[in-house]
Amino acid sequence: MLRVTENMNYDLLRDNISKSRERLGNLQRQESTMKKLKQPSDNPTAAIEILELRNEKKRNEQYDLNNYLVEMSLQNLDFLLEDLSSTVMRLKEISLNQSNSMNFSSDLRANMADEVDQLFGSAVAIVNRRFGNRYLMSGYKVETPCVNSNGDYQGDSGQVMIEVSKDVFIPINIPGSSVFNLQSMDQNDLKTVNLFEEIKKLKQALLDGDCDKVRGQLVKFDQLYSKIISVRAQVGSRVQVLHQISQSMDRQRISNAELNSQLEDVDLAQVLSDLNREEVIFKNALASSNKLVQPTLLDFLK
Amino acid sequence: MTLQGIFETARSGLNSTKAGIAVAGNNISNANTENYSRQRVILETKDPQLNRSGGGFIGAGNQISGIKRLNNNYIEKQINESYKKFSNHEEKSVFLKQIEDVFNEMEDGDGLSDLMSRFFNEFRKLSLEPNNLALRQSLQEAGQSVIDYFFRTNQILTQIVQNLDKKIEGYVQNINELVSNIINLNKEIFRLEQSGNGDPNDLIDKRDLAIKKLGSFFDISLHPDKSGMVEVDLNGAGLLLSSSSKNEELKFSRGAGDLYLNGHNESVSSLIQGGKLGAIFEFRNKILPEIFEKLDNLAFNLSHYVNEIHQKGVALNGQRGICFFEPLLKKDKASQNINLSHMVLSDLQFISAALDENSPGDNRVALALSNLQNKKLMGDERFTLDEWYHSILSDIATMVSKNESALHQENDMMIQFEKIRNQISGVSIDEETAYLMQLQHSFDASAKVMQFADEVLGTVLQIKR
Repeated sequence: MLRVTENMNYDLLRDNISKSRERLGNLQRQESTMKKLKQPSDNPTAAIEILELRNEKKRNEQYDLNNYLVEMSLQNLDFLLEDLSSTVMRLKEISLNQSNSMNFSSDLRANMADEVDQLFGSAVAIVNRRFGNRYLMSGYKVETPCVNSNGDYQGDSGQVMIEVSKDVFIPINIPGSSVFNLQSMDQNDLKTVNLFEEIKKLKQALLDGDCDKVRGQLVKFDQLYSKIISVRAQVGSRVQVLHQISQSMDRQRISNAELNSQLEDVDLAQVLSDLNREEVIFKNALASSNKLVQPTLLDFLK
Repeated sequence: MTLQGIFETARSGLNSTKAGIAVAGNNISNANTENYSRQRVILETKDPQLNRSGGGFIGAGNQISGIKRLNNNYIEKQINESYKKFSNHEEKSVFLKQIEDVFNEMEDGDGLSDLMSRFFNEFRKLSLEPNNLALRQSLQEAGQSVIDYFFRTNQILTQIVQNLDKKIEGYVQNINELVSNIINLNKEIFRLEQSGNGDPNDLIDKRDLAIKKLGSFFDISLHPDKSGMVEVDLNGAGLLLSSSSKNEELKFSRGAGDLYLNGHNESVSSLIQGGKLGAIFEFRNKILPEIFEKLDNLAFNLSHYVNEIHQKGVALNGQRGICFFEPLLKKDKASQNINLSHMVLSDLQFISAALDENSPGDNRVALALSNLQNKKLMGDERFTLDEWYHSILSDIATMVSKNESALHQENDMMIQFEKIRNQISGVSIDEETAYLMQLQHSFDASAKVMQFADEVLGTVLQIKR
C-alpha cells in the first residue's frame, strides 16, 4: 500500500505552482519584449549567430557608406575624363585643320595658337579638379594639385583603394601620369608622350607655321585620345562592379534580416496561445490545491 | 496467577498504550520537522507465568521492546547525494548567471563585440580620408572605449572573485559549526546508547540532517563505527571529525584562495569537489581563470597585431614605427594593462594610415588595419578576434544552459526522492489520528480490565465480613 502523507501533497502543490509560475513569467517576457532570447544561455548557438549577424550588419553599413563615396568619386572622375577627352578632341581638330598649309593664313594660325594656349590652360584646370578637398588625379598626394601651371605632374602613382565589400577593393582615383602619359614607339625608340608637352609642341608648330610638325602632332593626339577613352572605359567598368556589389549586398541584407528575425523574434501567435494555455494550467493548479488539502480525520472526531 | 497479577497485566496494557499515545503525539507535533522520521512503539509479550492451579502458562501482559525509527538508509543516501548535486548546481547557477550578465550583449549595447566592430569601422572610415583629423579623433575614441571595456570587465570579474572569497569564508564558518554540532551529537548519542535503552531516534535524525547539510558543501565520506558514532572524512584529505571527537577546523586564506585543515600546512582546496564549496572553487579556480586567460589573449593579440601593422606605417608628420597601443610585454593581465600609446593619446597626427611619406591620401595602412577584423589572429590562426570573443560568450552561455538543465533535473530527482522518503518516514496526520483512536480504545479496555479485577478483589475481601 502506498502511503501518502500531507507533506507529499504540499510539496507537489508547491512544485507545480512554482514551475507553472516560471513558465508564465518566461512567456510573459517573450510577449512584452518580442524577443525569444533574453540571455545567450537561452540558446547559445542562436545567440552567437545573432551577434555575428549584428557585426556583419555594422560592417555592411560602413560598406554602404564607402560604396556611395566611391560611386561619387568615380562619377567625378568620369566627368573629368569626358571633359579631358573633348579637349583632346578639339586639339585633334585643330591639328587636322592646320596640317594643310594651303588653306590658312598666318593670322589664322596665330589665332589657333592662341586657342591651343587656352586649351592648355583648361586641360590643366580639368586634371586639377577636386572631389571634396582631394585632388582626383594626384595619386596619394591628394593635397597637391595634379599638375603645375607648366603641365608638370606633381602627384605619384598611388591608387587609393576603398573596401566596398568584405575583401573587395575598388580604386577611387586614377593617377594623372597614367592618363596623360603614354609610351609610344617612334622609329624603334620607346618615347614618352605627354599631353601637356604635346600641346606646347603644337602651339610652337603653329607659330612656326610648320605643317609637317602639326601633322605629326595629330598622331600623338590620336594616341592620347584613345588612351583617355580606354581609361574612361576602365572607370565605367569599376562603376559596374560597384553596382553589382551593392546589389548583392542588398540581397544579403535581406537574407540576413530574415535569418536574424528567425533566430531572435518571437512568433506572437504562438506565444499568445501558449500564454493562454499556461494561464489555464496555472489557475487549475491553484483551484485543485483546494481539493488537495482535503479535510482530515480530525474533522470527523467530535 | 494471582489477582495482583491481573492488575499487573492491565497496568502493562495501560503503560504501553500511554507510550503509544506519547509517540503518536510526538509524531504529530513533528509532522513538519525537517528530516524527521516517524516512530513506532514496538510491543512484545511479557514472559508468561505458570498457573499454580495447574493447567499451564498464562500470559502476563505486554512490554515495550523498543521505539523504532521508520527510515530507509538507502533512500537517505540517495537524498544526500542528490542534495549535494543540487546544491552544487544551484551555487554555480548564481555565479554563472552573474558572469553571463557581465558578457550579455543580446540587448543592443556597448558590448565588446560592438566596440571592436566600431573600432575597425573607424579604420575603414579613416581609409576614406586618411588626413582627416575628425576621423582620427573618433578612431582614438573608439580605441579608448575598447580599452575601457577591457578594464571595466576586468574590474567586475575581480570584484566577483572578492565576493566569492567572502562567501567561502561564510561557508567555512557554517561548515565548522556543523562539524562541532555533529561531534556533540555523536557524543550524546554514544552516551545514551551506552545506557542500553535503545537508539535515541530523534538525535539520530538530527545528526542525519547535520550530515546532509555538511554533505551539501562538498564530497564527504562517512564511516559509522560500532559504538554508534560517525566519522566524517573529507575526500581523503583527512578526518573532519573522528570518534575520538577531535575537532578539525577548516581555515580559508584569501588571495591565494586556499583552504587548510587546522594543523596541516597542505592546502585541501584541490580536494574540495562537489557541493556548494566545490562549485565555488571550480568557478573561482577554473572557470574564471579560463575566462581571464581568453580575455588576456584577446587584448594581447589585438594590441600586438594592430601595433605590428601600425608601426610599418608613417604618421602625418612623417614619423615611422609608432605603436598604436602601448606595447604589452606579456599575455598575463593583458586585458588589464592594455592602453593606447602615449603618442597616439597625445597627438592625433601620430596615427599612421599611410605607407609612403608625404602622401596624405595614402590609406594602405588604414586598410590593412581594418582588414585585421577578418584575419584569423587567435588560437593558432583558427579564429578572428570577433570569433574568439564570441567563443568566450558561447562557452559561458553553454555552461549556463547546461547547468540550468542539470539543476532542474537534480531538483526533480530530489523531489522524487523526498517523495519516496515521505512515503516511508513521513508523518500522516490521518494515520496518527486513527492510531490514537485505536490506542484510546485499548486504554479504555485495559482500564476496564483493571476495574473488573478491582471488583473481583472487592468480592474476595467481602467474604471476611
